Amino acid sequence: MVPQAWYLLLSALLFGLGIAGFVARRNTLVMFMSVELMLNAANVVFLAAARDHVPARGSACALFVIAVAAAEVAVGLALVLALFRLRKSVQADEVRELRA
Amino acid sequence: MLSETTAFLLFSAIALVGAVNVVTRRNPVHAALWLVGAFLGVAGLFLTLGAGLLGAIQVMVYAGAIMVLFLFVILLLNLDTTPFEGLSIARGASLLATAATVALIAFPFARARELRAAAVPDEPELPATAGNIASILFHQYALPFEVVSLLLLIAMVGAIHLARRPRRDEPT
Amino acid sequence: MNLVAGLLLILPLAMAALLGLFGKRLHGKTPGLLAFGMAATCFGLAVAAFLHLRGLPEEARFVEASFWRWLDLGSGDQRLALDVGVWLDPLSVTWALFVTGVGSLIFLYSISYMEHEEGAWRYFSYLCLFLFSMLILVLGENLVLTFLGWEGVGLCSYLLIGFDYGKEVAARAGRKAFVVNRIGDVGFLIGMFWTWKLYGTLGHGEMKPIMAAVTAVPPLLALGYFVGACGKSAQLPLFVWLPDAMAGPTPVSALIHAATMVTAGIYLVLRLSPLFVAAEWALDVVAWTGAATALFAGLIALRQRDIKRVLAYSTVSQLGYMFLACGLGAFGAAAFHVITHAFFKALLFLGAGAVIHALHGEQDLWKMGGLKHHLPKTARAMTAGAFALAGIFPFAGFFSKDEILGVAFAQGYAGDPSRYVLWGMGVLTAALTAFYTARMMTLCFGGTSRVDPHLHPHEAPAPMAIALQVLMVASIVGGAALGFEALHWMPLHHWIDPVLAAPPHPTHLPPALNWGLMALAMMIAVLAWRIGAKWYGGDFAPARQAELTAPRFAKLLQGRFFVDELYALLIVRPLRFVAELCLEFDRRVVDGLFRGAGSFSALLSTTVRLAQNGVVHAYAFWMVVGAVLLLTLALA
Repeated sequence: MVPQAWYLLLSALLFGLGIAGFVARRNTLVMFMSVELMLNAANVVFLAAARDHVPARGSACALFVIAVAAAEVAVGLALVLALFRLRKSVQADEVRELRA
Repeated sequence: MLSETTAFLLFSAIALVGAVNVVTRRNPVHAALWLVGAFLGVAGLFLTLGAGLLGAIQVMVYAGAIMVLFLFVILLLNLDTTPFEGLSIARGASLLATAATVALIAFPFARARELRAAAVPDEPELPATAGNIASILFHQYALPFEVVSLLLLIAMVGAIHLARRPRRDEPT
Repeated sequence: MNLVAGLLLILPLAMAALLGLFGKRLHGKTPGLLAFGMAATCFGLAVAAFLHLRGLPEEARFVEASFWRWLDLGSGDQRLALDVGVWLDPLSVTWALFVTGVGSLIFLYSISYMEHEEGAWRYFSYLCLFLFSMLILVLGENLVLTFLGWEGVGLCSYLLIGFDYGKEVAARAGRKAFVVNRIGDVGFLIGMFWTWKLYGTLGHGEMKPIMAAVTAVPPLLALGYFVGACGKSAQLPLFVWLPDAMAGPTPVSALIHAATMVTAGIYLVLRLSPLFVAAEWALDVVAWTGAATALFAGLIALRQRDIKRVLAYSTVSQLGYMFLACGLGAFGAAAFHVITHAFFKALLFLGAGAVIHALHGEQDLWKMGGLKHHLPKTARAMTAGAFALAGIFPFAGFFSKDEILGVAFAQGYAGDPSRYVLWGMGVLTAALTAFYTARMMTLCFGGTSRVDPHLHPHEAPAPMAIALQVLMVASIVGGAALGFEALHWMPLHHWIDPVLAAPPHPTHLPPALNWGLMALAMMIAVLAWRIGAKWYGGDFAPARQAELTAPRFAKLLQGRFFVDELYALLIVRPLRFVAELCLEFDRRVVDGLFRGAGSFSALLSTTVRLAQNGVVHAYAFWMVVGAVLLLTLALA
């Protein structure tokens, strides 16, 4: 058996890459991809943590995460489309409409 | 037959390489394709964890549906390679914060060899078969399940509304 | 009787509401006619109540009609239970009679007077409300209801003085009347609280036996009521509002500020006369205040140019007579003078109103003169009123005024020399009254015309003339009909005295002395009148010159003893100073605190606002920072 800690370390790395992508990249599409990476990292934790006890429950939780991810992508991509229609660009740093 | 450890190392490598490239590729199409690789690696990890169903769903939903959606949008917008974005102080600080997060997450994981199973000690072990998952979903998690279905509906309606081309008399 | 009493109250209130709510849609004379119809009906009801009471034996002449329980506070000894109801006895019915009677005539007069005024419906609505309040005041079953009416008439007085609220003078006069009256009201309230504390009741019916048995009353209790009476009846030192109240329409001056409302103070004193009699020196205070006010106001009236101001000060002066009578214990005589005064002062005011009406608003006596040729009927009616005011036989005022002076002299004759001083003040006031009345009449009607030649004075229209004629008759025969003490013909006294306290001092003189004094008073009045008429009757120029180059004392009179200025200096200015201090405190400190808090949070939020730069990455970065912090905390 591979120790759970390895899975968890891997998950941390994936999550960190996700954060890095989200924070550093300006392209909104890539930012959304990074979010997907983070969600996947979370799924890895779910399954790894449940492996030795109730694996089915870990799968069920991961399933919920996938559903949420699907919803997020749908809305996010629609937002990207709307943004592009407005600005002819998908660069996040060109949009500062929320400035107070 | 691959040993479990070998499989783990292989899939981890795929997932990490994919993830690194997702974050670093300047062309979004390339990033999306590398993302498929990362998803497939994660799907393999699911298999090594004994969650075959989840691995299959991962491939179908992520590598299949979601990725198609990404690519579709990229092609629809006809995006070029984004210009080099430069390394500003803010980005450096962001990356530093990222590293800190990773370290903080990984630190306790690495220290704890196995997670304690204090929460549910005497629950019978349920292998992650489709039947067991379904049983949990529709009994124990019935309400969250319904909520998620509602969430999907809302997301669908929202996505349609946002992506709809505004009428001419309507302010954008 | 309950029905009659209830209708007496409901009709004016209903009419006030009707006119107030829907009057705007009525045009021309309609509101006036409606109001007059109501007032006349009320007079009829009052007469019915009078006849009913007269049919009862003397000791049972009262009707107590309770409509519903109004207040029920506390329990046991502390209980105060009050009904909304009516208390009819000779005193209240007498007041109701002349209030509705004179009131009806003034309503009638107002129909024409207000015909072309903007907002006549408002005027009549207030007038009806006034009638209601006045009737509550006199008929109310307990002192609290009386107080309700007391405040009601004060409110109506305020509203009607300020009827022409667009004019600063009128609005200011209204406020002044209101504020000065409030001072008196405090006295009334103190009296009521004290009464309840001592006797546990405020109902007229329940107080009747208590007051009959009472032997000693704290003088300050009675004086509390007297302060209230001073405010409402314009006595020293609270008289300042009444002359200013002349800013209201003239019929209002006639009704409220001469004939009815200002007699409410007398009514209160009469109603509580046993308390006053039992309150040691309280009556002396009343007497001296009354005499001083009479003399003081009489002096001021000598040199006023505004015809309504002359009448206003004469009203204050006559009210002083009434309080003098109360203070002497001659309560019946006070009531008598109230009634005759209501007749002739209403007549004089309405006559003055006719003159002002004819001159299109001119009130300055110096710009009148010779009007008897243009307004013969008005001149005749007003002359009757003026003779009554001057106390010339056989006009109404003579009888009541002479009775009061007679009582004062009788008490001096019986061994109290200070009463001779009171008598002297009264006689002097009578002489002054005759003089300034003659001056007013002569300046107005006699001599040569100084009227603006563009004006063509004309006689008042029929309703005004009718009211004048009726009041003229009342002013001529009203006195003799109601009582002539020297001949022991005293129907009013027989009617009203049983409900009043018995005089604590002797009131009767030997007949010879009585007749002699009467002749003396008559002579003085006629003489003063003759002097006044002669002084101002001939060429106007020397008289005017005399008034303009007056010596210092006369300047004092022209300036009305500068009482208003004194009040301004002693009370208004300090109060204003304190108010301005408070204002400054409010502006600087209170507002400063709030503004400071506001600008502080604005500053704070301006700083925090910078974080909201709209850059998604910045938000993401701070989110990560937050996550790092949380994790550190969780692991620490």
